[in-house]
Amino acid sequence: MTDTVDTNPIPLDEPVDEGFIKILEHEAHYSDISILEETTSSDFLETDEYSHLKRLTYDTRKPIHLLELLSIGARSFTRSLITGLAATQMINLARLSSRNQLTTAIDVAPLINILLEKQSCIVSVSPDLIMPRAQVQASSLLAPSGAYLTWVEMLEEDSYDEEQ
Amino acid sequence: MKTAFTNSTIVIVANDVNISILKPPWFTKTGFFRENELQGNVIISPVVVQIPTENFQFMAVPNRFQMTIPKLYSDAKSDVNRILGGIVKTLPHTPYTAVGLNFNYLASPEAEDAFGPWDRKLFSSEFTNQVQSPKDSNARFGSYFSFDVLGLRLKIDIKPTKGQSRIADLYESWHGGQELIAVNFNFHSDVPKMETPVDYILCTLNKWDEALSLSNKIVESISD
Repeated sequence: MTDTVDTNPIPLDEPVDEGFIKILEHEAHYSDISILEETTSSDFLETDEYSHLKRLTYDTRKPIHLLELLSIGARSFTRSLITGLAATQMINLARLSSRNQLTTAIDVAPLINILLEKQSCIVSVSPDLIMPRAQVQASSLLAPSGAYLTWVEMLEEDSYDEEQ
Repeated sequence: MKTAFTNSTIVIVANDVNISILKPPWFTKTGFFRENELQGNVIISPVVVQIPTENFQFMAVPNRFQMTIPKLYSDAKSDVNRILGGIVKTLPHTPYTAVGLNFNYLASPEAEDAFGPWDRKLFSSEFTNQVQSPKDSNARFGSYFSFDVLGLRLKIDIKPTKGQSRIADLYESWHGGQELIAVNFNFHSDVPKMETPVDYILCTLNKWDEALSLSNKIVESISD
């Protein structure tokens, strides 16, 4: 009997520990700002935060934190609500980049379509551009609630002006 | 020898799973999931559905359904039939291509510091002894083999590994960083082209407990 398809499981139980929290702080490049411009609404593109982001990426390809990217997006929509999916996807993209599974900035940037809606900031991964396994890993991360809260708390610790 | 079951995952591979219909109202309407099973951190998106419950974790992506059981419980098999069997019966025209029943274990010798010699005794071979020194106490070994059983193709993959930080949850005397072997069983079947592939898949799912028993038996037969 021969098989042609992989029916091994996609792991869901990768542990989340202190080392993982450090991965959240890992810097990822976001060099292709044009991808962001194509996929976000004009409201966001007119914000100071976006200008800041643009300066960062054009400044000798200086890497930016993925968290900073997301927090910029979140603040730009003031009443942002980071969904669990957004958190897990961004976390896992950081993990992937740190493990060299995505080896270049060009690999990372096209994988992020930031859909900014009125009440929430949702980061979805383009299914056309990401490896199937990476795509599933992005969606299947089961961060224990403690780690998730830590991530959200890290965002909330950023100074946030309600009146912006 | 110390052994621990880590999880079982049932995988149904398909081309073009219609993720868009997999939403909580559909799940409750069809009766696949009980209401209390949809109260957790459910993730619904265009590319993934993920539902963690007290006893299992369900996931659907465009090319597979997957159900992971982290700890054995008495209704596990009936839940597999309820969830995955129910979905397959309700979506019979999805182009299913393969089914996999997976069982994963960890094992170690009784004495932690005996791992090297134990691992070598069990899994080194004439070939491995040609490429590394038999006296190398840092060498580590595993094994892979496959054969037909229960009408499925069983693939057994054994690798040395190290325990993660919460390994003591599985076996009290184990600790993070401890050397272990991971023993992974994949009972695989391609879904043949036939008029009633759903029946074939349901029949395969129904072998879950037999496959579990066989996996348990094989793990226990690893002797030190």
